[in-house]
Amino acid sequence: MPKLWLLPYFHTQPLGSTTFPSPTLAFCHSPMPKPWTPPPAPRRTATHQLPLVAEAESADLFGLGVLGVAWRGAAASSAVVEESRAGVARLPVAARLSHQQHVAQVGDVAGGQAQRLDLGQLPIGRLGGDEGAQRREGGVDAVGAVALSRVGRVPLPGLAVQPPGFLAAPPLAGFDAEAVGVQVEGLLVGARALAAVLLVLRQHADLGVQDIRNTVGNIPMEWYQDFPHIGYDLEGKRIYKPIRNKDELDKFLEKMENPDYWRTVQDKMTGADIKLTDEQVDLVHRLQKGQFGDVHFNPYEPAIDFFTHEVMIHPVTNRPADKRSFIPSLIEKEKVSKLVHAIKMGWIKPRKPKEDTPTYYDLWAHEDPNSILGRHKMHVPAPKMKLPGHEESYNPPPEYLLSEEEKLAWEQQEPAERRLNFVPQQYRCLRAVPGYPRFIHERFERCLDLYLCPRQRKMRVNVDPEDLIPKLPKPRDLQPFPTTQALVYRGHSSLVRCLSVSPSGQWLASGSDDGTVRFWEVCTARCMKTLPVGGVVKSIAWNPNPTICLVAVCVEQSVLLVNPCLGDKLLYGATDQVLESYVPPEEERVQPVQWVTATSEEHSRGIRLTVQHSKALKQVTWHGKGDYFATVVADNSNMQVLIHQTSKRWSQNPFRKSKGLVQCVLFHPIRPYFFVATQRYVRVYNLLKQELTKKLMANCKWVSSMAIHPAGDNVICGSYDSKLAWFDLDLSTRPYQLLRHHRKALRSVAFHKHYPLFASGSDDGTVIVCHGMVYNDLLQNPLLVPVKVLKGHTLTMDLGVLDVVFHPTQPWVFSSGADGTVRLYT
Amino acid sequence: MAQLTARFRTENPRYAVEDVPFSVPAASETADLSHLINKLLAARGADHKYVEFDFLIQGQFLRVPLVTHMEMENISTEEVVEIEYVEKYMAPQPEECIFHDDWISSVQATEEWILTGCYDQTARIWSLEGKSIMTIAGHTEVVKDVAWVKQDSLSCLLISASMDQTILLWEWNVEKNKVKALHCCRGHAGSVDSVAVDCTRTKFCSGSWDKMLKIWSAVPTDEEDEMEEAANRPRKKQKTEQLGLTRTPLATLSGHTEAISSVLWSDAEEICSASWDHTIKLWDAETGGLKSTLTGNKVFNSVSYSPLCRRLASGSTDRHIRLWDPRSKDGSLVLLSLTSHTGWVTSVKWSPTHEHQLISGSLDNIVKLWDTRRCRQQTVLLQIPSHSL
Repeated sequence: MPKLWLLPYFHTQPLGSTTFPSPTLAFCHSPMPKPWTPPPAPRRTATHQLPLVAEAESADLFGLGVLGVAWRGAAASSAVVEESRAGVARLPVAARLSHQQHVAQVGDVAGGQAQRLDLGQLPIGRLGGDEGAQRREGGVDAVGAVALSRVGRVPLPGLAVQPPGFLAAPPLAGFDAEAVGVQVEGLLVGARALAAVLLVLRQHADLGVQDIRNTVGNIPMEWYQDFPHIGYDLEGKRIYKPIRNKDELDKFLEKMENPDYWRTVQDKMTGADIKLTDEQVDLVHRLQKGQFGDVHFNPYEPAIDFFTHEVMIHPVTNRPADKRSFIPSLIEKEKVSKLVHAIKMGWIKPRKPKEDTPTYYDLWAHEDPNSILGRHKMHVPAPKMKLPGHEESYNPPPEYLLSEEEKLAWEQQEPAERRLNFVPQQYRCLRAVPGYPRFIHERFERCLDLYLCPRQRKMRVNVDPEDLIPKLPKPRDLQPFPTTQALVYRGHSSLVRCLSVSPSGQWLASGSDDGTVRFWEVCTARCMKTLPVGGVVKSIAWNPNPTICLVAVCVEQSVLLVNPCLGDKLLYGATDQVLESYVPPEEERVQPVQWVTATSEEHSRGIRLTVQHSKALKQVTWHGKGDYFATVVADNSNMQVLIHQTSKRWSQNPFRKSKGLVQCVLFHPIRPYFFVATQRYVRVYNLLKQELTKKLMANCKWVSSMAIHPAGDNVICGSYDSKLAWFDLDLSTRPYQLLRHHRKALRSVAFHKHYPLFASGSDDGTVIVCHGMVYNDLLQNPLLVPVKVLKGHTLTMDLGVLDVVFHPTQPWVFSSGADGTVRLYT
Repeated sequence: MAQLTARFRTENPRYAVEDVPFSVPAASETADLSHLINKLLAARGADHKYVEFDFLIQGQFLRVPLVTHMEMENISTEEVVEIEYVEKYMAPQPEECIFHDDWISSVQATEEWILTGCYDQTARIWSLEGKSIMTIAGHTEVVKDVAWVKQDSLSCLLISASMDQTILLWEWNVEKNKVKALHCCRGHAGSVDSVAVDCTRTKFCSGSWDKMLKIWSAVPTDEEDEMEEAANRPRKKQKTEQLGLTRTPLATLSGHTEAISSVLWSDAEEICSASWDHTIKLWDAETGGLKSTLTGNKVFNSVSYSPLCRRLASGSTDRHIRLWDPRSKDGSLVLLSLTSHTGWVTSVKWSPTHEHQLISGSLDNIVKLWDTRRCRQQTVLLQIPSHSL
C-alpha cells in the first residue's frame, strides 16, 4: 500500500531558529496509490504528539504543512479565517501581509473555497477545492500528501523569493499544538480573537477525548442553535450537544462557586465547557499584551542575510546550468538578423559620432553696447610697468654699469630727465644687495600713475588729410579744354570790352574803347571789317539765331543793330530783307526808346537800326530765338531793363520798380525765364507768368557777370570780389560752390555750348577754365574742376581780361583784354 | 680715344667713296664725319668742292656724337658700322621777296609762274623772278585758295576760290596776258576755303565752310548750267555783274559736321578732306561715298598726301604734324607725330620728289622741312624763320 510518510525531522530542531537547513525533503516515494484510501482514524489520533507535517525548506511547502495541520481543526479554522478577516483590517501592513497569506492558505484548504493566494501562479486554491470532499472524508494525512505531491510536481517560481516579513515569522516551523495556535492567533488582538483561539485550544485540548469526526464544515454554528446536536458522526448519528439547562441563577452560582469559572470557555462546536490550563491562560495573557506566543521566541535576534556580500566558494545552488544558457538563442538570432537587414537596407543609420568639439556661444553677442555693461568694453587697462631689464640686475653685465663720466652726468641731470632713475650697481651676490631705499617712493609713484591714469577714452578720429580733399579727376582726363594761346587778334587801339562769336564760329566781333567794332575771321585772326561807331562799345552780342546775321552793339546811349555782311550771302541778304520788311503800325505807340532806321551812309557801313535810349547802356543780350533782345541801362530808375523786339521794333519795360542796380540780364536758353543780376542777388522771372520765380543769393558783394548753362539749370556768377558762384537752380538758391581762384575781380564768365567747360576772366589778366560737368541724373551734383589758367594778357590800367567767350563748336576760348588784344586759346 | 670701325655708303655716285672700313673716333659728330668724307673725296679728285653731308645709321639721322647715338639705339660698337651719308639740305636763303598789298592766303607755283591768292580779293600771277604778271580781280571777297588747272604755252586754266562762296575758273592767255573768267562755280553756302584739281585736270573739288565738299568739272564749256534756284529766293544782285558762266557742282559730298579746311585728290578717284570736326575723311569721287574716316582730336587745318610714301600728313591746331595711313580702316592710329612747332600748323606739304620729306608752315612764323626717317631728337632738317609780322 503506497504510503507517504512525513518524517519527524524538524522536531529536533530548536523552534524559532531562522537558519534553515539545506533542503532535505525527506519523504519516501512510492507509486501513487490508486484508489486512494484514507488512513485509519485511530492512527491519526495516535499521532497526536507526532509532528504530522514534514518540514520543507520553502515557506510555501511550509504553508502547506500548516494547512495540513490546520486540517484537523478545519471547522474552527474557517471560523478563524472569518474572524481574522475582520480583524486584519486593523493590523499593521506587514503583519497583515503575512497574516493574509496564512489565513488564505488555511481558509482555502480548509473550506475548499477559491481564495486568492500569494504563492505565485500555484493553483493551490483549486487544488484544495477539487479535493475538498476527499479531505472532508479523508484524513489530514491524505490531504497533506496530495498537497505535497502536487507541490512537488509544480515548478514554484516564487521559491527563491521570500518576503522578509515571512522570514520574520518562523515559529510556525515547529509542529506544536501551542505553536500552531500561537502562530495563527498571534496576530489577532481582541476578545473575539481570543475566543477563536480558545476554540482552537479547546479543540486541541479535546483532541484525545473528543470525536473529531464531527465534520459540519465551515458553516455558521447558529444553524444548529435550535437543535440538540451539532453535526453527525460517521455512522450518521447525531452528535448531541452537552445538556445545558443552567439558568441565570445556576450561572451565577457557578460563577460564585466555581473558582475556575474565569478560565472556563464554551466550545461553540460542541457546546462543551473547557477549562483552560495555566499555560493556556499564560498564552492568552501574553497575547493580550501583544507578546509572541512562544515564551522562548526572541524577536530581536540578529538577522543573517541568506545571501551575503562575501564571495563564497560554493554556488548558492548546485543546480546545473540551463540548456538555454549554452544554446544560442533563436529569438536573439532572429532579432539580430532583422537588425542586420535593416542596417543593410539603410533603415537604421549608424549613430552619428558625437561632436566632441565643445560648443560655445557668445554670451555678450546680443548685448547692447550702450547699456551699462557696455562700458566694460571701454576698459582702459592700467598702464603697464616697465619690466626690469639688465640694469636692474644685482650683477648687471659690465656694459650696463655706468662709467665715472656717465655717473657724473647722471647726477647732474634733472631727476625727470634721467633715463634711469637709479644707478646700476654690481654686487657680489644677491645676499649682499641692500634694501632699496626708494621702494616706498616708487610704489607711491606707481599708485599715482594708476590714480591719475586717464580713464576717459579719447575718441580720436584718424583722418588722413588727403581723404578730406574731394577726389577730383585729373585735368588730363577732362580734355579737351583750351590749354595754350593760339592766336592774337590785334588791331584795337584801346581796351577791348566785349566779344561775341557768330553762331557758326567763323567770325568774331569785338567792341573796344577806341570806338570801333571789329569783325575777325576766327581761324586766321584776320580783321575782316572795322566798324567805327563813334563811342565806347560797352557790349556786343551776335544774334544767336544762325539764320540771322545781326550783331547788336551797345554804343553809349544806343543799340546798333549791325549786319556785318559776313558769311553766307543769302543769310545776310535775308536778314536785311527781314529788317526792311518792317511795316510801322498805324497808331504810334509810346515807347521808352526810339527805333531809328539807319541812314544810307550808316547802311553802307552795315548799321541797320539804331535803338536810342535815354541813358547810357551797359549791356545787350539776345534771346535764344534771335528776335528779342534785352538792354540794361546804367541807371538807378525803374527803366534799367528794357526788352526789345526786333521784328516789330517795339520795346517795353518789364519792371515797374527798381530792385537795385542791375548788373546784367540774361534770357534762359530754353524756358521763358529772365535772369536779372543786381549787385547781390540774381532774380529769376518767369516771363509768361510775369512773376518772380527765384531769388539767388550770390554771397558776394558785387555781381559783375553771369552766364547760364546751356541746359538751363545752372548759373554762374562772377563778382568783383573775385568769387565765382555756381548755382544749381534745382538745388538751392545759395551757391552750390563758390570758387575763389582769381586774385582780382572777375569781369566776365562764360559757358561753353557743348563742352562741359566754363571760363572766367579776371582783372589779374588770367582766364581760368574749369570743367563743369552737369549730369542728367538729378541726384548727382555738378562736378567742378578747375583745369587751366590761361595767361597772355598784359595788365593795362590795372585791368586784365575784360571779356571771355567760348567758341560755339570748338573747345576754344576767346578773351579780350585791356591791352587791346583779343586772344584765342585752344 | 675710342675708335669705331665704320663703312661709308651713299646712293649718290658723285660722292661715293671706296667701300672699306674706316676707323673713326667714337665721339665724332656729323661735322667730323663730313670732314672725313670731304677729305676722302678731295683725295680722290682734285676738283671737289666742300659739301656738307648728313649721316644715317640704320635709317636714322645722326644728331649726337656717334657713340652716344649707337648706345641709344643699342647698336654694337664692336662691329663695323655702316653709315649712309647724303648731301645735307641747307637752309635756303630767300632770293626774292614778293610784296603783296595784303595777306596771302594761298600760293601755287609751276615751273614758270607763281599763282597767289590774296586777301585783297585778287589772285595774282607772278613770274619766278617776282615780277607781277597778272592781277586777277573778280571776286567780291577774300580769295582763299588758288590752283592751276592746265598750263599750255598759250593759255592757262586756273581756279580761285573765295570767301564770296564762288569758285572762278579763269583762262589766262599768256601771250596777250589777259584773263577771262570762264565759269563761276556757285553752290557753296559758305566761304570756299580749299580747292584741289585732280590728276586728270578735268575735275576739281572744293571744300567750304558750309561743311560741303563739292566736285566740279574743270573743263570749260560754252553752256551755262541751270541754277536750281528756288523761286522765293531773293533776286540776286550779283547776277548782273557776275563773271563768266554759272557752273553747278557735279557732286556734293556731305558728311562733315564742321567746316572743311583742306581738300586734295589722293588718287584719281579718291578725295581726302580735312575738317574742323576733327576728322579726315576719304571719299570716293566716283560714287560720292565715304570710304573711311580718320579721327583726331583737334581741328585739322591742312592735309597733304604723298604718293611716294602713301602717307597723309595733317597739320592741326595743336602744333603737331601727324602722319596717317589712309588705307587703314576707321580709327587708324597716328603713325608718327612731328612736334616742334609752337603754333598752329596751318599747312603741310609733302615733297613731290622725296618720299621722306615734308614741309610745314605754322603760325609761329616758321617753315620747317621734316624728314620722317625717325630720329629721337630731331627730325627737322631746317627751319626757315621767314615771315615776320
